[in-house]
Amino acid sequence: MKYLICFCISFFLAIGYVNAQTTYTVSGKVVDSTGSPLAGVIVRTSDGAIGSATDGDGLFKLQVPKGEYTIIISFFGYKEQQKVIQVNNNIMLAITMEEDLEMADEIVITGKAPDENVTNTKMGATELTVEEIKTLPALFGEVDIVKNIQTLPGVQVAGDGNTGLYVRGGGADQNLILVDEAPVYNASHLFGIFSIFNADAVQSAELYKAGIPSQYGGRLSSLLDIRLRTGGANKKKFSARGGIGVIASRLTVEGTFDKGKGSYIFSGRRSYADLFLLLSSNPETRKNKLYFYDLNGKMTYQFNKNNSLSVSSYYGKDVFKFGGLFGMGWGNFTFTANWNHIFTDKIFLNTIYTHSEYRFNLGIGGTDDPQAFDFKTGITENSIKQDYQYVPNIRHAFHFGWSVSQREYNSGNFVPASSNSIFEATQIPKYHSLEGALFASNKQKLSEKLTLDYGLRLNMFNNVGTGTVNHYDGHPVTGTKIDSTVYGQGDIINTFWGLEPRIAARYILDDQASVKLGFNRNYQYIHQISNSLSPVPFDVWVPSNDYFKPEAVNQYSVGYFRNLKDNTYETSVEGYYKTYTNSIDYIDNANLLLNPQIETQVYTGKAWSYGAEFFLKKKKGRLTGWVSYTLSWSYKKIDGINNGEKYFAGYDRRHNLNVIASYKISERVTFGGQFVFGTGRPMGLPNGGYQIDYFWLGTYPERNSYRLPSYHRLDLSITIDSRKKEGRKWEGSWSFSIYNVYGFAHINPWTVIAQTNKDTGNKEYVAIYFPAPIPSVTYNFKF
Amino acid sequence: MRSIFLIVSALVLFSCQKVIDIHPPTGEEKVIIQAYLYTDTTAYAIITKSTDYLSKKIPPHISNAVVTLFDDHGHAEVLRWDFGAQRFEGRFMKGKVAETYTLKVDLEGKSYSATSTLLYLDPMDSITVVKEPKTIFLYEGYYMKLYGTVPTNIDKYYLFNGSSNDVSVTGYNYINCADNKLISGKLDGMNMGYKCDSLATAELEINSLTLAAYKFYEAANLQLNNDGGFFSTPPANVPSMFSNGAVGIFQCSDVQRLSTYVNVQ
Repeated sequence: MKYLICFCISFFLAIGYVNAQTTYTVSGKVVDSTGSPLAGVIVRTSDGAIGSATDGDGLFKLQVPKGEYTIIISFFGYKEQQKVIQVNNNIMLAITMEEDLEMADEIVITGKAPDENVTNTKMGATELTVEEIKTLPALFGEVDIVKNIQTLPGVQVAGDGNTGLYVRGGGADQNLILVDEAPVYNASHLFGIFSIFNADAVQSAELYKAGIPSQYGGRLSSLLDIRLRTGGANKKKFSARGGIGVIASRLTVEGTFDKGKGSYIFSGRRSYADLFLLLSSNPETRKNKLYFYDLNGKMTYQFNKNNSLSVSSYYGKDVFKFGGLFGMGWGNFTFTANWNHIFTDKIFLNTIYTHSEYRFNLGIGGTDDPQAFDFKTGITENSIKQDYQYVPNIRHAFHFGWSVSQREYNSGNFVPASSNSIFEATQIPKYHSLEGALFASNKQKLSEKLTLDYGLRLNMFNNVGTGTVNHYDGHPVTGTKIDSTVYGQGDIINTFWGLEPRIAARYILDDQASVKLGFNRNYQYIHQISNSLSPVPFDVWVPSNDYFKPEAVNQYSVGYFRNLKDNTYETSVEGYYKTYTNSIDYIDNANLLLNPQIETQVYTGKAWSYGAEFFLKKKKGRLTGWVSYTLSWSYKKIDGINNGEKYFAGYDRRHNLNVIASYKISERVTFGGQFVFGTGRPMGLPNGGYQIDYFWLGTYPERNSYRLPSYHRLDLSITIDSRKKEGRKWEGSWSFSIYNVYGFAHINPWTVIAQTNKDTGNKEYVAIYFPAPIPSVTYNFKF
Repeated sequence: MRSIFLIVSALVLFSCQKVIDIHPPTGEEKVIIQAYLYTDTTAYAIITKSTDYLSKKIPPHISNAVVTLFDDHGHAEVLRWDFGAQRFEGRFMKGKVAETYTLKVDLEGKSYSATSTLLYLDPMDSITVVKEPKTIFLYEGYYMKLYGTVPTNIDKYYLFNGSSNDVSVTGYNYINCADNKLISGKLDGMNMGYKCDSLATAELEINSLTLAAYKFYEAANLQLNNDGGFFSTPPANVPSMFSNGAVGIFQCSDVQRLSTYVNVQ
């Protein structure tokens, strides 16, 4: 309650302050040369005192006192513009940015002004550009946004070629991954070797490790906000780009219509390892399938100056088929419709509908096999959100609104696949939920040096029927099921609610340095049932209920930010401390698949993590890149697990170092390198052995008490652009890379298994690791 | 359903494996007990201690323990050490269906005990041996198939052992235990995964298990076929049926043996 009171007091204080100001609005829209809106463009006064960034529709708004101003509009990949304006009433500007051919324009990760890391209230954001990404070594030549995010401080990885994100001690299911506001429940292709995000289709990606804006919620550890590109680049009604690689190829077409009022972009990517199988002389081999594909589409239309609509969609799938007897597939489908409406020059509204599906299916056995079956899991979500922005003056920027989400969870549908099957059809009870939220926030400039960003999110979660709740005589793990309650459709099974304060403060020390403080609380009401470190596709999600209580986290963070040499160098040091309640972990030997009493496999307790993150980035010059180092600890302490003693989380790594460099040797040739070092992750290995019958088994010590050897890897690449010729539309580049250059002499184990050799009978520890080195070549083009 | 994890793990064909030279510190020595009591036969127990995981020696069987078997009618028998068999053996008390037994081991001043019920095994009908082509799951060969009916109104747990010409075909890295969950009731040729000789006697031994014994074998299977927790549940200690820190199983089983002669040229 005290948070609510504080928030209300602050809100009304702010309103009072608003009324005391006399300012004018300078608003407008920033588009590229084809009329497509540009998000993340920095619009500011020349002294930097007043500034803003454009939203997803290219709209911006500044509140300035009467006077003459030089407005600077800047965006990476475009030429900076300056406009001198006389402000004595409200002004609306239309700004068209001209592409800077010396710079790339495709992706901006966390779009920021050159010194915005110092001046804004955000903590944990880092700006990367596609130019930096594309010239860096990439596994199999596939540029991957998520893999680049993994190199940022505070982000841990599970192993080689894995796209799972472990942010500041949080689990892989604690990241809210949004594609144009639609949640993605499994962001991996090929068991996590690639993420589902085609770099050609993405406009921006922003990772929040702390201070998640109050209009977002539902996950504990991070928000990865990915925006798909708006079509119509390069002043052309039609243009295309793509790439041909060793694993996959991709093609993107885009353009505008109706005199630039509308735009479209469609992008596709497919891997084709299976196509080579067709060359096999073995007919059984030719039946095998092993590929993934994804499709992205987005259309926008500007109806008038106050109304615009964008619809976008993602569809992707992985397909595995072996010998006609084993098939597995999984994929996501998302859809977003976003209506942007400008009420007045001070109030904007985004009304957003999203739909998201994740499906997994597995089929085993032939049609006449009595042991053949099909198995399906999935989750479906429909959401609607209204997000208002109210910018009354230069000292306040309000966000407020509401959202509602409805979900259906299919935890397992098991169907016999032959008429003489030994199995019976089984449906693990489906779950349903409704989640709503009210949110409000205000970025308040208290003085030239001190800015507060505070908000509150009130969430409510209902676990609704149909459903069945089992009852036990004690804890479900140790007790016995005594009966169950069956709920009808729409019946409320559980209701949870929580208040999430989000507070950040920034104090400017000088024109190049600032300190920031932050606190945020997040709740998570859906839980991924997974006991592995790799993003396996058959994970299921369950809603909070009697046994899976809502997970919550409190995060305290502090940071020092300093830029050097005219923002050529960006440095920061951040510290954080997080405490989790109702953190989930699994009993030894947990059985999670097709288990209608999944609550018998888990305990909940507390967890905590803390660490320090160091970041140095060079943004200008022939040599660019960054160094990130994270020193961190992640613990859990859960009654019933590890004898109730604390233990390391499975993704705990003490040291994590990333050195990323790109060196432009000439106008056409760029050299890239990446070095990664990390403490080995903890896991369980037997510290003793014994024989039962003729099987050799192990005795295991405390959970996660053994630590894998340290991980380190060097990747190199070279990118050669085609010669630019006057009048030639086609532009191409070759990218050659080697992943894990010295991997032939050193292994980075994903994991270690203890086993009895099937041939020799010897007991042994076996490292499982990603093959290395992996060379690749990719040809990229656009016209 | 754990087999799904194992299949997925096996699918990571692009991964590499290498035996590595690491030596996690050897943990505390533990008493290991395996005891068995079958229908109409007497009990036996083998007692050892755990050793280094990489040990190439089988730990010696312990003979200086006192092993006592109790039934739930107040009867008790002390099992005698059989030097030839290197195990403790009973002589009088035989396993009876629906009876509950307790095995107590006194060793070096400590007592360890486990209790188990000998559950009825609904008899199966028959087995056959059928030639199967090569698939991603099986090599080409002659495989044992089981026919019969499984009750579905009560939880049942089984342990299977296959042999061909009296030689085990079960394998050294897989324990064939199962429950009756998801089963329709009718087993119409369930492939047991046992590859047999084409000219041989094939035999299938079916054991009833308690839930505790099933969990022991299921966890042991997870250990024997684990991928280090990357895709599957991480391996962990098997849930011991014995008290006081001893690790082991006290398996009381009703047993059925089905056999057939394979004569396929």
